[in-house]
Amino acid sequence: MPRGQFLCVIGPSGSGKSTLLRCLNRLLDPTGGRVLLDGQDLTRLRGAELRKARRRMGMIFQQFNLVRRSTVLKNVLTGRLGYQEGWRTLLPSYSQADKLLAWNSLARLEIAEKASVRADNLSGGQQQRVAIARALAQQPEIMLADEPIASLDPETAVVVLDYLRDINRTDGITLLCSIHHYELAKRYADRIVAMRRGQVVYDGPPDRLDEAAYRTIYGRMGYE
Amino acid sequence: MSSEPLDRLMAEAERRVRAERARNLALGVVLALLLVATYQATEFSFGDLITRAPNMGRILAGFLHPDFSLVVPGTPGTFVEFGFLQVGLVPHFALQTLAEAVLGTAIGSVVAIPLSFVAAGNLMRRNPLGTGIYFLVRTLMSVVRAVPTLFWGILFVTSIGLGPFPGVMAISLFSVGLMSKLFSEAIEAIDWGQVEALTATGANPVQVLMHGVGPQVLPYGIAHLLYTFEVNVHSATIVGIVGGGGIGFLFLQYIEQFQYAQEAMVLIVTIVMTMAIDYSSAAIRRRII
Repeated sequence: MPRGQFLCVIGPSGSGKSTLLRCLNRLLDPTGGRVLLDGQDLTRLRGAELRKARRRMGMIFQQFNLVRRSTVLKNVLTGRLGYQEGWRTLLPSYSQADKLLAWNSLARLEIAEKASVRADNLSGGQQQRVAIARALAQQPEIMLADEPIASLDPETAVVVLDYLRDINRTDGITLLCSIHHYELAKRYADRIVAMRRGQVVYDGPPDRLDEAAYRTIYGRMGYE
Repeated sequence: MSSEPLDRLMAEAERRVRAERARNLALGVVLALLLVATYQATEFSFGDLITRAPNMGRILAGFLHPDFSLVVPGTPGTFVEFGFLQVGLVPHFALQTLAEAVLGTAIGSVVAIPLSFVAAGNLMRRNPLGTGIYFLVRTLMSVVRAVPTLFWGILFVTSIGLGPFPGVMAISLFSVGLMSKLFSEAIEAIDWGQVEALTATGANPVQVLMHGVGPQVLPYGIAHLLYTFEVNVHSATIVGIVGGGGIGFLFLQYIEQFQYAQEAMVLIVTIVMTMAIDYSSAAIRRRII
């Protein structure tokens, strides 16, 4: 996968989209095969080296996975944890530079005015923006988005995808996004990978995905 | 991105953090003062711990040689018939304690189960009458719980007489208080959507309780029952000290007569019994939920 691409993984429930994404940053261990990042095999990494590799990949979740009882700012600051070293990791505080970065991420997602609010007091769309800010504060090269819009209403979903596209285009962050919504995947992706029962059944540009391809992916006629 | 409002937001967040820190510091100071006050109120004394150390040493030394003849059935003068079993003296009282806990839990649950439905806010607070009953039962149960088991034990021993029976009564009463609280909270935590779905089928309230509420609360009910049983085993040990029968009665006797070897045996049996019950009960509870 080349740098800077916006790739959407589509496929029915249980086809292996989330498993694929989670294998990339080793939240899950693949049963076989390799994950190569700049020629480095991530499946062989352990401990500090694995954490350093994870630091390069921000992750966004379907259920946002914010620390719900912490404030928005504290949540975004956790994006910096992978950079703390030695004795600093034992302190519950962050450097001034980290704070500035967190604030800029919040401003980027236009949610800085909620910085002191507890995360569980926000709406779903706002929580997902905070989660993206957290991933952004990580200064990643890649963002893994696991069904980022599946828990959101249609309008909010588009807003969130617009932020992701902006981050992809402006910052050159590679985006790997699993997504249920076929039409939105076609609209936002540079490239689409379709999975069915753990196998890749399509890999190519979105405009070559037609009704015939749709049928092989979802095993039935017609669009949703 | 305009940085002027961002600066303002950052300054405000910084102020909040500082205010929070000041509040936490104040809380810490209050807590420290409180601890100093309790130190004085309880006449806490490290000095006494040191000067009385020989006393404790003497008791501990006596404990080093537990009298195992007390658990062996058939040792002359120390075995007792327990039903059709012949057991040693200490196991006899331990079994009596256990029997108190089992019967107390059973009686308690029979009373607590219906009460807990009446004490569940989500079921009862739907009209003025229900709300009235709800508050009445809740208050009554709080009063029952507020009286320690040992107090109930003394009250029943003075009115009924010595022996395990007043112990069972004390434990039953306390269990009602504890279980009605645990059960009713389990009922209040149910998913109301499932109740709505059954109501929508045209089921009557009793059917809704049986088919919609029951399956949701049953595993928690069993877990709470087991937990109450664990608590009751502890209580049943203690009520013996105020004359409620069981192993606590033996514990008091031996310490009053300075029979440390015998006391050690009572302690060992109590520890083994309590731990065995706590572990097996916790294991079952884990499996249920």
